[in-house]
Amino acid sequence: MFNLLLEETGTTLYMTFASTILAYAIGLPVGIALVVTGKSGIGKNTPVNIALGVGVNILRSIPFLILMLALKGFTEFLVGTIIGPTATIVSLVVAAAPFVARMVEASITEIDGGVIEAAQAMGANNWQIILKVMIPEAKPALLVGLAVSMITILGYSAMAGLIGGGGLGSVALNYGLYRFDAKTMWITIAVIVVLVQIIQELGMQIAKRTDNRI
Amino acid sequence: MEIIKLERVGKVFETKGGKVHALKDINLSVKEGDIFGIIGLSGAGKSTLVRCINLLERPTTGKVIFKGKDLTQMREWELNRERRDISMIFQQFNLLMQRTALENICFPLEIAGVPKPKAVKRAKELLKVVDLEDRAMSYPSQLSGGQKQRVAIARALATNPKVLLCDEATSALDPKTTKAILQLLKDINEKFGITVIIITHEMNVIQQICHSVAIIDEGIIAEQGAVSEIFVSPKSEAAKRLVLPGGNRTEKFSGKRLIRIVFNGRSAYEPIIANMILACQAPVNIMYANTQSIEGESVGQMVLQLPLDDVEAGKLIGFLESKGVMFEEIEEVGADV
Repeated sequence: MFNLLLEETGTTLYMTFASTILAYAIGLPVGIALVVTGKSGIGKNTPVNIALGVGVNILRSIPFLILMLALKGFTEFLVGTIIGPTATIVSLVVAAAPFVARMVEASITEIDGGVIEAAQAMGANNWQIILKVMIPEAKPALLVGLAVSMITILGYSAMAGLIGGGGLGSVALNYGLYRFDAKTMWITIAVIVVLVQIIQELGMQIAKRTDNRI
Repeated sequence: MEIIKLERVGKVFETKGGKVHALKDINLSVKEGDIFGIIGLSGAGKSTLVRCINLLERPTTGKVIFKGKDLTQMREWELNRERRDISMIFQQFNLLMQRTALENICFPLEIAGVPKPKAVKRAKELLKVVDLEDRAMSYPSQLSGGQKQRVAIARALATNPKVLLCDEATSALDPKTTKAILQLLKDINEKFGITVIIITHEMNVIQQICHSVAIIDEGIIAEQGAVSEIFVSPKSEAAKRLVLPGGNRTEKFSGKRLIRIVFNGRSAYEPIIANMILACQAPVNIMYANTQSIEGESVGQMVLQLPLDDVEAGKLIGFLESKGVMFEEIEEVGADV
């Protein structure tokens, strides 16, 4: 029993971390692009901004379970199977990337426009502003966003257990629902709660420690 | 000679409520090494004007000529290169909050591609210039307003600019700190020969350090010239409003004959009023007096009420004329403001 939980916790963490990394690989550039091309952005481009915004909104409005089923073909094409943790990662990334993009957008929008203006006055180009002003100045907010995104992905990954995704979600489903093993189900829930707490606290602490505004 | 020249610069903002003409037809030339003030009340367009100089705002019409080249015709990368020669400091300092003072000063050098050890060396020199050597490792949140502006000034000097634009740089500071920052700007102008352009709504800022001044009102330059000239004889309505802040006090003056005497540097040190009274044996009534020091010269004005007797009044006026004192008769109450 203990070994099973340990193993499935590992699977959940694998899905969460891998999906977070990939979701940021897509969501971070998209989020930055949303700010840069936005109304008061440094590279204002309304058609691109609208296209990105609509794309993000469409993906965000599809419930995760439906998205997972809809992406069956795509997942099979990409990883060769539609069950198991690696297959779940595909859907998790597609679901989380637009969420991450909005988180990143909100974090960067928070920066004082005057600082960006100052960088422009010094002759910084847009890439320099993104890499040397936007990301470093928004770092604390980005780290808080990272913790929130990771927790959301963890929750989605548990949901993926319903359709053979593996991990703690599958344990809760198989033992709790199919075998009426309430004890195992509650232990699984407890493990998930602890994981969420750890990620949240860690994220907040790191964000606080590295923020030089205080 | 001229480092910056604006030719027929106009700026129109498209807003929900229609077009707003922030700048209408600005012609301005700034001499190299000058401390040039641009003063106006809020909403006069001065912030837009200063942003048109380094093209943070693109003028809708007109030319911005820097060292003989029109900035508005440049490509992005050319403009970015020129911007290293036109630094800017701001009312809200605009320091990078996640960088130390030293790292903030290194920032424009990083952008310009200066290798790090060289940038750090230069930043340390500049911290010395602004008298903040001991705060190199402090973050902006740990510095006072005056210290933040000093860091911003050091940062602005990092790339050895030719021009320093100051957008209400002292408006967020208390009077004592304002004075110290203005003195620093003056020193920088003298030591490094950097042309300083100061945007402000405060006359005492202009008075304390500027050589030349332009008065902006409703998107046009109402008047420009040497600071001492405009203080002595403001011509435009906008200039009078700014130079004679106590102007509406004239409304309290009573009596028929009022004259406004203007002192230039020479006569301010002479007891001219006392001599006049002794010489003419006629009394005057001092209604309003205000003298101030501008660039080391005493400049001031005084409003006198003359006796009603035409002969006595004539004698007094004759005395002033003989001494070469500038004055004007104010026909009606409040006529000069």
